[in-house]
Amino acid sequence: MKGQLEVSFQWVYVLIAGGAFLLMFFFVFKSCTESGDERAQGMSVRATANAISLAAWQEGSVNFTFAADVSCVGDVLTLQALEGTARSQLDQVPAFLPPRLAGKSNVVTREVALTQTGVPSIRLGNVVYALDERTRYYVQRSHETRLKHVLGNSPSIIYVDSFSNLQVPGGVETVVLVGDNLPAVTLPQTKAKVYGVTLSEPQAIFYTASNDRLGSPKVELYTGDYMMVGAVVAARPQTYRCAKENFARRTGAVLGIYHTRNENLAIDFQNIPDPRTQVCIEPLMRANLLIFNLIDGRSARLDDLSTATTPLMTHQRTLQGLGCPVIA
Amino acid sequence: MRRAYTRCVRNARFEKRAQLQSMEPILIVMFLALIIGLLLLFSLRIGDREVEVTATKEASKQDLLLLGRIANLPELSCPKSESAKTYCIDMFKAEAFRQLMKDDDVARSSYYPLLGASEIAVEWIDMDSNGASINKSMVLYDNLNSSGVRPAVAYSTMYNPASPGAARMFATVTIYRRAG
Repeated sequence: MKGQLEVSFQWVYVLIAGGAFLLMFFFVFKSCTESGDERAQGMSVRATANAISLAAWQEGSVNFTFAADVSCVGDVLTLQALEGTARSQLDQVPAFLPPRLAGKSNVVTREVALTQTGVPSIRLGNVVYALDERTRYYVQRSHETRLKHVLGNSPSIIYVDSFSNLQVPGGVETVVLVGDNLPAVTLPQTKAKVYGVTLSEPQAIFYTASNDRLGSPKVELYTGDYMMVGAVVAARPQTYRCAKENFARRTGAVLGIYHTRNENLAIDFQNIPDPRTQVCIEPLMRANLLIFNLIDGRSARLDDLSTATTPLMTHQRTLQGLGCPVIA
Repeated sequence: MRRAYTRCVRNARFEKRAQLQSMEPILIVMFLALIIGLLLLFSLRIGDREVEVTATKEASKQDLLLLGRIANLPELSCPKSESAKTYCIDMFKAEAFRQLMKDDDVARSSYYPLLGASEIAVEWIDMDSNGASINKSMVLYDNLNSSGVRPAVAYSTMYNPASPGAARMFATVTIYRRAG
């Protein structure tokens, strides 16, 4: 009897020890899962930023699924997890993103270049646009050609003749209205956040709109078709400015490389006593002076770039005609 | 006296057996825990190995993609009129890019999302005035502080716009990344 009691007492110890072990495993597992969730949340935003950063270097179109709020914090484009505090920066990429990324997004990278028929183009870099499936753009038909040229056909963009009686489907989280005269527009009845962008040469005017009225306008300058489409996609002046500045930085670096290259080329040509190469020096240096004027510190002055396009392409044509190396 | 001794020894044997019997469940639990622990370690090791293999494969794929992107960058590539058929690097642009990466930390950091922790070198075969071939090389970007590296190579063309007839030379672009 005593022996039996002793044996059952041992089993009690074993059960207590086993229970303690199980409890310990449970707490370890729980803390691992919680930290895993936090890490996953952070990683999701970081992965989004990485994916966009990588897509920025190659022309094409990719689909991603992610969720983040897009904002401009201290002149840096920032993605923030829709729930939670995880943040990631997109500080080097010229990316135009809608105010909120919620579902599947189509990321389009377009090359920006100065072009003229019959002359090699001068490439300046790339710009990234992301269109989220839960953001709907209602664009007045007068801007259709411009947007389609850059963004192609997208189910997120709907071209309309007028903004009256817009039917916003359920599940849409952000609506962007793009037109010529937005203050006169009656906003659609929707729970989605509404933004407005008026495009008038040479300005983009942003409105933060609610269902009661259109808010006070914020005016931003833009340059060229690509920047204008950027204004439409970003829908907010701050995020637009961030991406535009990043684009100017990349363009500045590219132009800086062209400048150094042409300077070194001209020096080499001076050392070659061949009349065929001597001819190239002057147009190369003229083009270089124009490029130098466009570079402001490390970034390009985008607003001047549009006015410099014609003279730069004229130099490019001259160099090509003389059989000299072209600007880029 | 002898009988008492025998009884004492027998009692001691009984006690020992009883002790062993009472230890039995504990021993079984410990044995099971040991087996489960070993199984867990084994499965973890297999998982780690699989992750390692996948990561190596993925890294090689990324290196090749990157080499394609590098040769296409406006910062390095030949003018559009020169680069219709192959990857083509403009020698003077490459030199300007090398200078920029060396002198300007801000510019170098802006290329980090693309180039990451790597070293990118280009080698090409040039001709001297006597027509003999000389191997030349240039490190375009160096942001790698590691001794163990794995290289990935792509073939390209090096274009010299200053040479008579704008010579194009055979070149290789190599990207070095930290191994493992």
